[in-house]
Amino acid sequence: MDTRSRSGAATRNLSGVLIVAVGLLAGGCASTKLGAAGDLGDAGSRSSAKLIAAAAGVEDGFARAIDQDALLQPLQDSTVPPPPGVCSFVGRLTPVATPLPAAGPPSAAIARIEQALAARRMLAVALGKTYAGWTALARYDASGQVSAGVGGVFDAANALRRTEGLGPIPSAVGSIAGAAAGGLAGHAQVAKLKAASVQIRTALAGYREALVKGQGATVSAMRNTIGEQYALTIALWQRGYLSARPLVDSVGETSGLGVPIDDKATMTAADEGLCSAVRAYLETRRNSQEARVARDYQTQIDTVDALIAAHKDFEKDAPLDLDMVAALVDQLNTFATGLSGKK
Amino acid sequence: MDDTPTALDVIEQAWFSIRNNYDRLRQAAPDTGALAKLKTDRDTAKAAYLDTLGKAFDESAASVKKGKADLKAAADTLDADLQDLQNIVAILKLVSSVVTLIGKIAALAG
Repeated sequence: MDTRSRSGAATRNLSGVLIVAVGLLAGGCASTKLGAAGDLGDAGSRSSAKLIAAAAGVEDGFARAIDQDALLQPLQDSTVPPPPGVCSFVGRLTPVATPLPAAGPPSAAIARIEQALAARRMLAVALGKTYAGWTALARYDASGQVSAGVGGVFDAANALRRTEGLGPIPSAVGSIAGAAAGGLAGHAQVAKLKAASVQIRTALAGYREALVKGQGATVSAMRNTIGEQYALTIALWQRGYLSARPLVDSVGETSGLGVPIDDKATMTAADEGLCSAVRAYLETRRNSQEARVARDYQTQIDTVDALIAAHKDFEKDAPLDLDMVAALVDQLNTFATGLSGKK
Repeated sequence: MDDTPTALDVIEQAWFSIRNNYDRLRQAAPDTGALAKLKTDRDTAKAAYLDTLGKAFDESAASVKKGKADLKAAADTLDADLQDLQNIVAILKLVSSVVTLIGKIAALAG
């Protein structure tokens, strides 16, 4: 072998060693990065689920408010309450001799709002699908599969060499090459995830814009749901159709007290004192809920901001702060269940 | 943040006020004419509120549509990326099978 061929062989060997080394190094970095990507995908999926529930809560709440108003209006129009200054209407309502015909609900406006709310829910669903795709890519074991594939090629090559009377390639070569190829596959996977992260972050910015632009309308729709529930409850309560017994029971339960077993009281608004107390309680609760909805909606925007920040960190290889996302998602939970009217 | 009330804020307040205080307003109505007017006012406030709410949602409709399209594009890219990776793995498995097959044929021929 002349000097030139020895030098060529040495260069080839060095190149091979370098490729294997780069592959193994890339594999180590990629597995950490893929773990982070998986965690980010889980956080994004959980956030999406809560955002879907929140959007569905507003949608369901709006439909419920329309239904409730269809009950409230005729209930109030069919009778005239007693003069001001009393709380309880029980046995004191004067029927209206000739009730006015009920105006139909403005169905075109309602349909338009329902359509807008459904579109907002579908936007959250689209976010969920995107994170499902992200998680599938992050959790796909390309590295393991490629390593196994390369290992399989070496095994097959050895089988072929045996038929030609050649000695087998040492198994160490196969496993190192497999690990190196797997590392390079993992590296390629991370590169794809980083590119996808930029795209998702851009889409999240668009999602955020949609949330901000719809803030006034959505918060108003939520306040309408709360107000309708309050108005109908008060109307039924003051007319004696509801009992305060469950409320008293729950207060007793938390303080270790109970309603007397032999108490025959119905706990309706017929009791003027109880009537006023329950009314004050319902008003306070309504005011507190109305004050909370804008804050809760802001939590949705903050959650999207936290996801955008996490994607930025992922792209620049910084540690991810997913605790913030988790904390916001927990807050979204109370928001979503509050308005849907579903247990 | 701009605290100037929007048209929706104003109309919302009018609707909520008449709905939440409807019984009280009826208690104070002096005659059937006043009751009828109150009912008409309620219907008008409700219709105006829903109409204004619908218009307010319309203002964000374009951004909702764009956001959904962007998210779908991202989801499609991710699907394609995953498909690429799966294809690489599938090709390697195919190569392995082909080499094994050649080995078996060579063994038979030998």
